[in-house]
Amino acid sequence: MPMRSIVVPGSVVDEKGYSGDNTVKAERGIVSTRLGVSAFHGRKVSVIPHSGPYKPRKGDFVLGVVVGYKRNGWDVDLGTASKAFLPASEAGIGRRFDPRRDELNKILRIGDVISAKIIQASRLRYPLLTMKERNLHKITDGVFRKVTVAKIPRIIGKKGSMLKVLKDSGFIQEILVGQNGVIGIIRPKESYDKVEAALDLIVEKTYARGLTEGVAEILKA
Amino acid sequence: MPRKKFARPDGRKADEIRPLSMRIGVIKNADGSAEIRLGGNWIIAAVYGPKEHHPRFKVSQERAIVNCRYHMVPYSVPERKSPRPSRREGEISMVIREALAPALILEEFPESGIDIFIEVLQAEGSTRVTSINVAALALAEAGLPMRDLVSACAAGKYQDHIVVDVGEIEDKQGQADLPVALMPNLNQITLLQMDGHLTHDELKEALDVAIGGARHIHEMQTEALKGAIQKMRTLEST
Repeated sequence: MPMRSIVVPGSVVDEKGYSGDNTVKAERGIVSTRLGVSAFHGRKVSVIPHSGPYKPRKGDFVLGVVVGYKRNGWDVDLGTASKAFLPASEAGIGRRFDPRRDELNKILRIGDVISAKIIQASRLRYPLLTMKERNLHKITDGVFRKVTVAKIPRIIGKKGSMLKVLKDSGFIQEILVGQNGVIGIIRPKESYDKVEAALDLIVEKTYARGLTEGVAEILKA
Repeated sequence: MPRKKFARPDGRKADEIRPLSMRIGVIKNADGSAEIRLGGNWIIAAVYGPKEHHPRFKVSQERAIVNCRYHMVPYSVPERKSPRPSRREGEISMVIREALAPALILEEFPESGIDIFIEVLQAEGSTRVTSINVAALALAEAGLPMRDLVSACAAGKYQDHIVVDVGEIEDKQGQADLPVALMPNLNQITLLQMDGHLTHDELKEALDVAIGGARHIHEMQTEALKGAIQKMRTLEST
């Protein structure tokens, strides 16, 4: 199997095989369309991108900001090109939304930060959201930062190992990681800046070996 | 044949490119950014998007819209340049956009816009091709899907000799100037302009020289991009 290597747009990842994510098949072979690192699964050749925009997918857990009202729901900014829509019926108020009785701004107001799940996404339509699950709600206390979507798997770590290190540091109550690249540090204690420094390290040294240990060191210092 | 021995104003050989260096990720707030120094040129490019595009009537249901702004800062040239966008900057913005757009796979992001901002901090000839080189790096760092990188180089005619990478004096006193941008792996030209007079054979030679220069720059662009990722692979700070 070929070695993992750094590829740039237009460079040949492998001469033969099937085209996987972020590659196209050409006469020269499987060609990368993104800057990143090559990956091989059997005969499938793909590229793990270094950065890039978020593409909404069904089932993604996301963090977003309410930015507008529609007559039957809210516009939510996920940091994508088009705003997502949260229908009032999906707001999770525990009963049916009744437009004669209920008012949108009594449930969510502009500027509120919410955690939600994507129930529908396609290339041409805006994504649809739901909050009708136990862990999806309005977030009232937290610090937020944005990172490139490509870094999210590293922030979570293998089987959540990195998240566990961050949570166990004791500086924060919880850390929420939206697939759209928004990270919520929930109920931070006074000296949570070490968590920020740890996140900085993950973003800067994404592909380094022993990153989890490096992060643990920062949190201990 | 000219009798006097041929010499370029800065003492370069006819097929020699000015000293070149590139840096990736210079602007934290941008989705992708890069800096390039080519001789006396110093240019920064930043890419934002894909994001909601305004005005809405220009939005396409089929692909993302690319906007490009090439701008020279007032202190980039010996005599103060008015900061207001000039006719020349409008034209160069357009040709840069049209040189870069064929490399981007825009169909993946319908109903959105991609903004490219290019600031020339210091100018010394061939700024349009240098801008294309740095903007291509910024687009790659932004993680936008691309068919190929775009590399560009200018050739020119100075004292009856075809030279590569035209400098300031060669541009002003030379007989012709031929900026070329290409997608090196696909072997496709995305920009070809000419200013001045060249014979048919000279044009062919100048085109070959410019493409050779662009291929050399492409190697360095690849190195710069790979270096940016390589830095993320070691824990030691650099």
